[in-house]
Amino acid sequence: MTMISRISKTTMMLGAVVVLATGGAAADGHLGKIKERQEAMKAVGGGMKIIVGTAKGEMAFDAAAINKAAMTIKTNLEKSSSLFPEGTGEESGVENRAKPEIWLDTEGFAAAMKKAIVAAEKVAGVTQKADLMPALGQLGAGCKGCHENFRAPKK
Amino acid sequence: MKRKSTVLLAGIAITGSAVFMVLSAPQPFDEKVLPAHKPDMANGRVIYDAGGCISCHKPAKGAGDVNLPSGGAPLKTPIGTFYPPNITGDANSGIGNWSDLQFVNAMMAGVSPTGQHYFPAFPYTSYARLKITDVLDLKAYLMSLKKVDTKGQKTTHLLAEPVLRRGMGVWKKVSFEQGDFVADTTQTASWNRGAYLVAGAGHCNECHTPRNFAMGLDFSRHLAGGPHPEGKGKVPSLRGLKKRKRFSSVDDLNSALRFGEILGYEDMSSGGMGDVQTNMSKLPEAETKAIAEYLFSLQ
Repeated sequence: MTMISRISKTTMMLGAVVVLATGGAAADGHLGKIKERQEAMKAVGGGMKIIVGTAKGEMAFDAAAINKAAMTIKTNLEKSSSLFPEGTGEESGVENRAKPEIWLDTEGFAAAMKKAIVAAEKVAGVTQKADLMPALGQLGAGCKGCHENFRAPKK
Repeated sequence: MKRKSTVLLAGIAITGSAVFMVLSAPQPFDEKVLPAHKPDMANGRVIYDAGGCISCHKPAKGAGDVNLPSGGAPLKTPIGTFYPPNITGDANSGIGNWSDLQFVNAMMAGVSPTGQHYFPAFPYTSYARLKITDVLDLKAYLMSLKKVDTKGQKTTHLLAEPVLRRGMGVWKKVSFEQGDFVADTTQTASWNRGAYLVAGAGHCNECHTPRNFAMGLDFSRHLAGGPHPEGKGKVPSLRGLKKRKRFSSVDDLNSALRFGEILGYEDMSSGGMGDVQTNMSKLPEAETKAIAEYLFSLQ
């Protein structure tokens, strides 16, 4: 084996290692974003439980608790708005339910997210039980509006 | 020898075509099935909402009043894109000139006024379970809506459509069963009402019951869920909802049907269920409760 061929072989192997490593890093980045947004949505779900439970009368009305739950929803929705970079749909290879429409209709997706955020803010400002149901109606419609167009059915 | 085989082939082709034409012939109802009936508009509205007609017959984005079933919004399916027609009462572009019998045949036999088969993207396979009086009420309700003239609106054009369309007759022979809904006399009236709405107008089976090799509904796995018809993800099973603790009670399920994600019920929005739930929310509460009673009881 000549020196040159040995060098080129080493270079090729090194190259392969680099490609694998960066590929892995990109996938890790995507995986991170997907996990982060799934966590954020879980937090949103947690907040919803308190608000829905109160609206249904399963929990006593507590303005401070409603405010806290609604703010949790708001901040997590805001956070997740930036957690949908291109390449993190099903093409990422990581199981998740983001539909391609998120990137085909970026404006529609942003508007749907915004609607839910604004609605969460309104719920946060509710101080009496009578106002909770109408405000929750808006917030729930926000969840629905986004999910029906941008979230795929369960695998 | 050569001539013999040519004759034989021609014979097979002719016989084959003849058999195909016989098997695929549309079989509409006869005038005699129509009862004397005074339409009940309120009931027509219930059938309309339970069927969620607007979901498929809505106008294309920005092309008209989203609350009127003037059709035209594209419906993508594995065999091509459908443009569901205008079902408002407009005489030329809608159903304004349809007779009652033509409407019943469309809904329950899957045969158009010009005597052609409909593709089961239009779920007459489920609507066949409807009472004819309910279908007549639905027609009266549709005729009461504002008439929309949709002249020039896109219509369905599939590849090899005439052959495919005629071929639907053969598919119907295998996969389409007519016949009234059969009540279970051991159950309550409301349970049976729910079962009727699920099987007929609601056409829940079309997605929630898996299909067999011939793309017919496999009732041995009734409402057991399966692959999503649009190709991605799954449609959930509606069996064992109680055992699987998906809902805590009939009231809980009723509330999910009526409010969906507005009351935080997850997975009532994606995969097309959002529209279904919106339509169900318009039903009188007794109707959704009947659906809930029936579904919750399925083991």
